[in-house]
Amino acid sequence: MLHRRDGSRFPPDVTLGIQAKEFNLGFIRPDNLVSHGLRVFRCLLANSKWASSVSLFQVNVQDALNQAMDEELERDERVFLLGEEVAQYDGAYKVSRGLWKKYGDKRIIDTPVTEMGFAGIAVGAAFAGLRPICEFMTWNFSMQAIDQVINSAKTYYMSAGGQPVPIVFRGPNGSSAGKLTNIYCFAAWYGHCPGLKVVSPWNSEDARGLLKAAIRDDNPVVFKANELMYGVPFDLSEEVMHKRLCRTYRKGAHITLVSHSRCVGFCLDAAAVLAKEGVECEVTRVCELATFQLQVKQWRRRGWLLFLWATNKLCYFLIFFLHFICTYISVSVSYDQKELLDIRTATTHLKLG
Amino acid sequence: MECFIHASCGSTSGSVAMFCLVSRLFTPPFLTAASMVVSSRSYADFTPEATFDIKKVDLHRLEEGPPLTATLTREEGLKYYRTMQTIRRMELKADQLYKQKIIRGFCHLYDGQEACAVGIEGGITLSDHLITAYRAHGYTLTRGGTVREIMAELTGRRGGIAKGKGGSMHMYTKNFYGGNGIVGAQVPLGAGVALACKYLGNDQLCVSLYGDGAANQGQIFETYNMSSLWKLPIIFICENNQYGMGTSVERSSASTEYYKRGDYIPGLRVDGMDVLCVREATKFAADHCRSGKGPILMELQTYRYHGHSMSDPGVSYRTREEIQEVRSKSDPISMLKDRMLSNNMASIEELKEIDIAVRKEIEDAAQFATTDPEPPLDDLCSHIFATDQPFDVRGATPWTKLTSTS
Repeated sequence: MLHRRDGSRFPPDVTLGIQAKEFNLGFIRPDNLVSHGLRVFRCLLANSKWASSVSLFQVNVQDALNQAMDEELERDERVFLLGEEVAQYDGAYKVSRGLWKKYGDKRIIDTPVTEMGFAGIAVGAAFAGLRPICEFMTWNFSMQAIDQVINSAKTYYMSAGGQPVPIVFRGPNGSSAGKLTNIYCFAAWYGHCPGLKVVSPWNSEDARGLLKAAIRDDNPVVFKANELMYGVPFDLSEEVMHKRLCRTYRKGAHITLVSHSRCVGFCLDAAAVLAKEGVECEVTRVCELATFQLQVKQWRRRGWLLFLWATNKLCYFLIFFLHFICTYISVSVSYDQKELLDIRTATTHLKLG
Repeated sequence: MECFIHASCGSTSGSVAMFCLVSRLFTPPFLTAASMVVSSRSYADFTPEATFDIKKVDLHRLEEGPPLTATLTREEGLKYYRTMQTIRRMELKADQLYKQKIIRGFCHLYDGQEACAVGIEGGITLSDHLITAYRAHGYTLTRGGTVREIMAELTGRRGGIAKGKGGSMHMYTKNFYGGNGIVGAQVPLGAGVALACKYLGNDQLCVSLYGDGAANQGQIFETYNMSSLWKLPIIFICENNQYGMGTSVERSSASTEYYKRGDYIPGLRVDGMDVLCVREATKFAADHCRSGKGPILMELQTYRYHGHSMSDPGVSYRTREEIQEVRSKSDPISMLKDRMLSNNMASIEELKEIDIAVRKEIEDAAQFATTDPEPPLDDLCSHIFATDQPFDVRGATPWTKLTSTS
């Protein structure tokens, strides 16, 4: 979404005007080709069918996350936020804008660039009864701290219920525009950790509701948003808590498209295109990846199942995870003797990171 | 009614005498002579308190250190003796049970280092927090665990401190956060606990322990930085037992002065085999933290008699003579015993009786740990998530059905 320098947004008609200007070829030079592409892309996003029509309650994902954190910080004294640039910089992606001015140094803490250290400090604070939100600038940097994230999940089990760890690890995940590195999606990596709840919302309502639920949850939660969705506005309802694990955005009878995070948008677009050819698709968003609640009854009605996942195609974990899901579905559906063909799509097997 | 004068070790007031007097008044005459059991010396013969010289502590970025003398009362002395003896006997029993294959998996023994656990606990209170690495049995005891619970946890039974699910490296009590398997990871966790202490403003502190092997971990330096920046009430303690698994400190560290590794953090190097030295240094460090000056680092020079774990005989990288020398010259229990006996603070018989009582306690605990049943199969999937509704857990095959409860 286009922003003025003071943080307010252009109204849609001005956006369209700028969009028209962006297509003026004289404006494009070799050095601004990428940023130009990004601007056009964002204009298209803002005016696509994903973005709802102008209404009083239109909020983009970034602001929805901001609101969720603000409300939870106000509600519970034990909640605090720590991470790189979350305080005085207003967040690397402006998700924590205004929070430091409102809550101060005690509750919004800027950390040095030491992921393993501050992730461990956040987990330790959770041991001692606080409810931290630990922000990674992107989930790629969480690799530095992955031991602290994964081992936070085992403590409740190993202490036989004596030591809960009410922590939320938050950050942008997955692809970004024009970048060749720091764009990997870690959903499958963390999704395989027992004891860790991994959530990956798509629109503003999901983002806000799930973040609030994650902060109130007494378990370690890994919350992955997508940076490209931050600027996209959606209608936001008054619903506060949103704990549904799978959510269906479009009903259809012929094929089920299952995805998470930004890829849900691609699925909806594909469904719209297919609808013109008479193929009705059901688009489902998986929110919690670890405890994957399979709506087998629903999927039994159709013979096609497509997973759209934005990770490396030959990622071992992904193969295992999807293979398990497909096997599970195959086994369940075989009772009804339906022929099931499942297709997995993902990014090309080029590189990680 | 029998009168146990010698057993009331902790009493220095006249209550024992009063008890004896009262019991004499109410004891039937025909039982008086047969039922009175007295020790050879009464409590009044013992010195109630004595002051000892302790080794000077090496300082880093500090003008003054802990005092050069320590005062020990008779009760404290007997308490420390009993606790150290309990840890020693418990670890030796664990060794025995491991060799009988009743304890399996990881088992890292703490004998030789008892003065560290007992001395640290003497310098802080139970409302302060402590976190350590995998050599945690001694700390579990000093932090409020019982021998029965610890031994049952080692054998993996339902009476264990973590209901048999944690094992040797995951024992937790109130304000004690384990027991951590990943070397060095417990140090940032300890700083997080200290952050919570400062956040809640409760004047508590956190003691975060690690070994000489872990002292080279990067995350420890990250933690030094953040705790110093934010003035967290944390005491970093490096238990330098000279060997990180099989690697001596000279072979692993470019600088073996671990108390200086904090650079901008003040440091103390303390004799970790002397319980009084450790106690005074911990008190000094605790005062430093509680006065808001931020973190402090202590290096305790200590020694472990056993190998790194039960799979390590402990003699391939060091000589038996070295172990014997430390045992004969610097054993923490012997040192305390000699001090108390030479200052007339306890009698040999009294200490022997404590030994017998400790042995009995350990035997009972071992018996319990061997005979207690294992956790039920339903417990396999429980405690995955806190405060959640019961849910199905995927088993090893798609048709295996398991349920998890919080």
